[in-house]
Amino acid sequence: MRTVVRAVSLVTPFVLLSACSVVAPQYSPDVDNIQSLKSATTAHAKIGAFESHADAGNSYPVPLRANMMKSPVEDSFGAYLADAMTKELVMAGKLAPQSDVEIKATLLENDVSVGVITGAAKLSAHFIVMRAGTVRYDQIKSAHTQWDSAFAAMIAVPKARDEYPLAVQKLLGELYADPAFLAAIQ
Amino acid sequence: MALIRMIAAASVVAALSGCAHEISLTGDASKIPTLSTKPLDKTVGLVITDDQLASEVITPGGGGDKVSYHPYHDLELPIYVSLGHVFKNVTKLKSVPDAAMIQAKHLDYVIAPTIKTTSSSPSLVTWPPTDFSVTLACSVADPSGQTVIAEDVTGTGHAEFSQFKRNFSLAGQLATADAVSKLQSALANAPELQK
Repeated sequence: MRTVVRAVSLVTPFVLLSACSVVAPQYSPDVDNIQSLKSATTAHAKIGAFESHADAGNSYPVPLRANMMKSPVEDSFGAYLADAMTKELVMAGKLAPQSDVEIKATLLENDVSVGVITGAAKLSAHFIVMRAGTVRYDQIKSAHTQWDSAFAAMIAVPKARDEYPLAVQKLLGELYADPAFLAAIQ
Repeated sequence: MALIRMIAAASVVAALSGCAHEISLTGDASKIPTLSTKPLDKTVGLVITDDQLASEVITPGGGGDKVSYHPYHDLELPIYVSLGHVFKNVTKLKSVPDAAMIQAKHLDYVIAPTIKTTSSSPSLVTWPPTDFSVTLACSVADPSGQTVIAEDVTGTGHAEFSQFKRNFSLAGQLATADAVSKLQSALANAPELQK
């Protein structure tokens, strides 16, 4: 009897969690990213179209074990990336909706794996900067992050969900660290 | 009801696995209220080291569970934003600057915060803390290293189940917002910084 009670108490939380839908946390700007943008003293840009290219490594919603992670922004992680960049441009004082410099992007890879020991996120996006109809920057940037995971989904899934914005911060950090990008938005 | 069941289930798993529940104290930094006064025409360096950013703190939640968070990582943005309301230019630094860096970055002041936190909950069923406090101690030093002013503020946050059911970190985020709001007011009103 005791064994049964113990087994039920162990299994119940996993059953409760199965096949749930989770929403990624709202993006919180990264101070280092804001500083990188601020270093481009005369930069001003507007945000153009940000799309998400559906692929094996970029399915929507994003599977986190038995859970599915959705974007809190326009039901798209392309829009999530646009929102992230908008927030950092605003905080750096570099967003200018009237600017002739436009940043566009396509999310190519958006994969989160929730292992028993380690979790990992792989993101990549194709960024384009246009100025008055001319392409000034055209590159693909990638980011890979890793964290300690857990066997219990009730621990591992929220952890993976909370790690997602940090992977987006790293992806944007890779872009802002590129002198060619900073030159293109000036 | 489903939410209570989920939170209770998470508590069972966390207790069994010996883990603390992760929360974030950051909140929406764009909602930190601006000051009625114009920013002082000064450049300040905000020192937060990589070791501080990586440091994790574990404090009590409800139902005998614990919560874990990274205070310096989580408060980095709110502090940076609030200092931006007080001073015209804020530069984040990963170490205490030497004379050469102070000169290169034209720093008028160097600010090194230390953060202390507490959390608690009387709940026997749910793990998110209902009460949270964030104490920010900030010393403001001039380029010679002399302390110009030292401010010590404490922000508090309280969130009941009906409020935190959509955001388990709410009490901590309210405490953070309260602490940085008090910090920016204290610095903006400090006569020592008006010179």
